[in-house]
Amino acid sequence: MHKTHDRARRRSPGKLIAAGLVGFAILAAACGDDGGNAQETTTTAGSGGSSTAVTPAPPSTTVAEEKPVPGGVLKVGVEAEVSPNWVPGQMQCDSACQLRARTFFEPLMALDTNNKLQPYLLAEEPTHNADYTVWTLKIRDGVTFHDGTKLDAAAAVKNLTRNCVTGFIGLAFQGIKGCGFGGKIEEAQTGIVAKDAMTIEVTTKAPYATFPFLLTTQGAFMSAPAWYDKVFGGDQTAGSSPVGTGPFVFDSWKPGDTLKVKKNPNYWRKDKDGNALPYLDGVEFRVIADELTRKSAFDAGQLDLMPTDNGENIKKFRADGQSGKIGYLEQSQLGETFYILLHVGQAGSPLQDKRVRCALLRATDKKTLAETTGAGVFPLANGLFSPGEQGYLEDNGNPGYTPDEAKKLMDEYIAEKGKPKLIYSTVPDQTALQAAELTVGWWKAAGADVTIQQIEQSKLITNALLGDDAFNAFGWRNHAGLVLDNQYFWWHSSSALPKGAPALNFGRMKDPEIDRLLDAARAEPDPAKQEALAEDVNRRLISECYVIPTTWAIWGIGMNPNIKGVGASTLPDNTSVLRDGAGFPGQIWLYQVWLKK
Amino acid sequence: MKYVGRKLVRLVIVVLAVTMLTFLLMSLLPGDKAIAIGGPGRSEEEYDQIREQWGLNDPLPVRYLTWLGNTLTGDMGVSSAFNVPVSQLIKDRLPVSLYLMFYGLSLALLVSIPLGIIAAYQANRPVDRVLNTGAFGLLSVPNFVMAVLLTFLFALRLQWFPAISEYVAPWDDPVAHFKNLFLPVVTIAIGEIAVFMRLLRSDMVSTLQNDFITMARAKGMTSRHILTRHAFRPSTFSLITAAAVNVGALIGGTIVVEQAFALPGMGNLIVEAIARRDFLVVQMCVVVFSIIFVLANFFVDLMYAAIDPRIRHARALG
Repeated sequence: MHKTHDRARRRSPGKLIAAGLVGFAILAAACGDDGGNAQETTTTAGSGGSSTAVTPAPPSTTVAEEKPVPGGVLKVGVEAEVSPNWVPGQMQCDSACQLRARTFFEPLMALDTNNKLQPYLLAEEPTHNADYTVWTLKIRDGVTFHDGTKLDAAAAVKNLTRNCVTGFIGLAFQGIKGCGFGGKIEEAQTGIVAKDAMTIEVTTKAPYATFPFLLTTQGAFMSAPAWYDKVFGGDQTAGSSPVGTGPFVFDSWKPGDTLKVKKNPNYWRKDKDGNALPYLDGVEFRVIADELTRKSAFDAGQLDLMPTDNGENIKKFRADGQSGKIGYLEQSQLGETFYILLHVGQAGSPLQDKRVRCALLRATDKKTLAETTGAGVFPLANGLFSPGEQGYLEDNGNPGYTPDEAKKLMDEYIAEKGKPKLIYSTVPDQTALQAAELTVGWWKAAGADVTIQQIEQSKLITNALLGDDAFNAFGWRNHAGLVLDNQYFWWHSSSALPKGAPALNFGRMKDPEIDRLLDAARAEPDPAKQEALAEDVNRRLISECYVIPTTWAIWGIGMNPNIKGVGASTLPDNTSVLRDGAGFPGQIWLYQVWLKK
Repeated sequence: MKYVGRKLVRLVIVVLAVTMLTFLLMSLLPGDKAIAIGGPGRSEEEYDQIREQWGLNDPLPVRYLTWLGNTLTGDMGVSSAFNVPVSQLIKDRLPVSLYLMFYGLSLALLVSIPLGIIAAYQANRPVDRVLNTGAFGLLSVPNFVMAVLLTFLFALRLQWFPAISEYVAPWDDPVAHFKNLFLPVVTIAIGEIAVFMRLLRSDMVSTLQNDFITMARAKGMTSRHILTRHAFRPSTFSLITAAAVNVGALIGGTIVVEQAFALPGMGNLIVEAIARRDFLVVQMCVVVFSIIFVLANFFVDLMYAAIDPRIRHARALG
């Protein structure tokens, strides 16, 4: 998920930002979602303590100590609404969407708390040929959709082929034969075929060792074939009543207000003691855009659980968690990075000159920015690889805030080419504007001629997507992930289409070295070598000053102390625990959550 | 009846003009509607399909007439942001805003009328000054600030009312209905109370100086009788006019208040629709708000005649 700077936002516009920039979160979903973004967490739900340590997430002790009690309806407050519907191939899905969608949809694979890929709707780990170009997937037996039909190879092929050519999700699948943005479903069917009733074979365009990560994402959510036929058969409203395999069945949806799901009485999974899952009778999600209002509702006891990425709220949750007033879980690893995205591919732009980019990087005082707009909660970022991500480095060569050096670089450029003129775009949100004003002030001090342009969020996204001339720089949030391949289509030149064509490589950065590293990492089966390649990308992004990282995002999840089992939902084998924040920090699994009466 | 008929015809014309203007304004908005509807990142063929499906290639008058015809037959189209029928969204949201506005206006009138009468009766005395000062105080507090204050006090501290409201139909659970709407209604009513009270006080002060009031006093009628039976009715014209005109302010107020209390009404819907460039929903919300405003003023026109026999008689004489 990605969005503009709005960390300390307390108003609905901020919320809208979340909702809107999410327009692209679809991509984030594609981006490799669980691919690994699940964050390291510590949970203290109901235990009276709180921790923000970035240690591997332990399973909730509450489950071991207390026997789960079935029943009850959980009330959850989320920050943004999905758009335009609940169809995996179409939904623009941020954390708030993922949290909800994963109650009725399930992926083919999932990550455990050790960041290991585990089969979910697959019966076993995928197998591959010698050069990683053909993958064989065995579908788990005994899984049924909410409409009673069986999940089999035909159903999975229908889902994967449709998703792999649909909208931005298709981009995440572009490594598969016949798939990609604007692809044809007939061609996709040649790359994803059913070999027998429960087996699928996927052929990739090139060696694709990291392919299984794709199966943890939104693109690998399984939905009922009859429902998908209805959705893509022209029934424009069918997408608002999803039919998946998940532990909860869709009940009702009032867009912008509530989503209700109820217990799936025929759910295929049981817990380790043989009890039916899920424990809850239902979940009621309430969309409350305004952070202050949502926090008030939580404090008043109207919400049982509330994820937030707001600095002020995280601070309060930490304090309340410490005092035992609430249960608190924090996701602080493998998350997104707040950064300033630069349109480096724009012909004639001063940003094509490395000296200007590096001057801006050095002129940006991220510490002040973090304290002013993020309540000092978010750690300062040196790159786009947050702690825990493949490629994270404590020292990636980022020079940090060095205004004198910035001025020198800028003076050098000005002497040669004149004062660089730039536009910093921001959404009309108070915190975003505050961040923009601070940043522009520093850049001006360095010698650049910068103006702030406030534009409506969807226009801002469109400008970035289509490479509009008015888009030079803006605050952005993105790049959660576990492996480097999660970021492939954000940075690879194949995604840097010319102006006017939609490009997910928003900066339209075309760097042969980064392309080489990304391609090599995709084909590389050895995690250690992948790590080295990712580190090189990290260094390269900074040495070339393609982006200006500011802070790493943190998500806090406050909950009523009577909520148990958060962070303890297991994988189908009941031996390993599912990672929360699966690609979308802020998301948690609700399979084994229960209410203490 | 003839008068009512004429008013009704005018009402229809005004509503049609509003729909036309709204349609025109929406069509003038920059950006490709097909991208707004389908979202960025589709192929050109898909956008062409969207243009065809939504009639975006047709001339503006044709589009308007098609939309109007469909709307009149109950087909308001499908929300591009949420893929649900616009009629469903309006059906879910409209009652919330209507109740909010109706209760808000009613509460404002219920409180402001006795206060206005008292202030007029006690004109320039301490009670009047206190009430006036209070009114100015209330006027100076924006409703989003009032919402925060009321939430803090009544929801978080005293826990009498919910911090966020949900819509419960009065026939499903009357107590929950009023409990959920109480804080939003008070928030929206407070600013109106100040306006209405000041207006009524001012009109009533002049009415109380009329000869017929002196005559009533001379007849030995009680102050209460004079104030409520003789002075009140002729002093209400400005109040009624203001109440009707303030429906516009109430509509604006609902947008803020619904956001503040997460109340799923039309105000929330229009904000969401604007942010998502959901043209059909924005258009329909504007039309609905316009109809509410026009209808409110229509009823005020009717009330003038009911309150003042001179207007009735003048109209009867042609």
